[in-house]
Amino acid sequence: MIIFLLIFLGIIMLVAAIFAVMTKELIAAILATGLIGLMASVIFIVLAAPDVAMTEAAIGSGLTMVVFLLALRRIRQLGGSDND
Amino acid sequence: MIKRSLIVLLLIVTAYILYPLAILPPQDNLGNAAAAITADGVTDLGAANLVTSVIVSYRGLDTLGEVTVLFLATAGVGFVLFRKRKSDTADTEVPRQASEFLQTGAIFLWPYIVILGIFIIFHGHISPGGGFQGGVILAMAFLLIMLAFPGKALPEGFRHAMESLSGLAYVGIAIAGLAIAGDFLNTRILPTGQTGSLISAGAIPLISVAIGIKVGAEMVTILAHLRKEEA
Repeated sequence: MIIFLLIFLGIIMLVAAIFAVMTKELIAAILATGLIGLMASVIFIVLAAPDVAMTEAAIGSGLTMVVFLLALRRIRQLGGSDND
Repeated sequence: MIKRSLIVLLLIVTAYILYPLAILPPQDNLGNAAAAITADGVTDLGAANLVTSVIVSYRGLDTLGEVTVLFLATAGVGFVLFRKRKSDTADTEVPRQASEFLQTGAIFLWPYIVILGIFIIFHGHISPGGGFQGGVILAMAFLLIMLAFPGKALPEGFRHAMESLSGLAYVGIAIAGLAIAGDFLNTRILPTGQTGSLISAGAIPLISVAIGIKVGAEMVTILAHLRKEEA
């Protein structure tokens, strides 16, 4: 039973990863990256590794996404005003 | 055309390499180190959560290295993103105000997130969690405040002082383990107490607190660097 859940979550991760590479919208790509981290943390919980799941949820889907979003905004600002 | 066929070839080769992993029989018995730790770890160090005792004590040197890598990453981000502010423009420009929803929500949620982070840090030796996870959660709480109230961040000097002091405390506990208990990062310098109670497991909670403060301060520093140049 658990194996089907794992396969389902893995398929979601694969679809999100391919979407993140293929899409033209950078924000959607960043959100898809966060979804991968979230699904990975669910898989870690199912596999009875709550410590790793916590780290993955905090770093993989929380902090990484925030850093990417802040960096994206910074890149746009630099592109908008190139007088610096 | 040639690009596409190369991609297909790469996929076939990858599948050929990874296929033996898929049909590998599951391994039932643990390795030597894992067997020894699972057999004696709880009575040895007095921490109910074996993962934390492995991370903090058994392979504590690796954790010290990880914290150092994080420190170097923070320094690198600061080095790349550092720009001397023109003092006349920085003060006159008022940062854009965040929406009222974000401000109210941030004020409402902030204490709960901080309490969750502190709980995870302090209970790292009993329940899942530990210094690293709790520190990141604390950093996220401060990020919320930074997003809701631009210009209000933890003072830079305070952050750097906390980071340096906690790093110093970590190394100090490690050396105390070497001096008193005989091993670098041996956490039995304090009595192990009763397994499962909050004050137990020797110096593991102290190391968790040090790691938590250090990681939290470093994460806030990275986020503040990324956020600062927007005005």
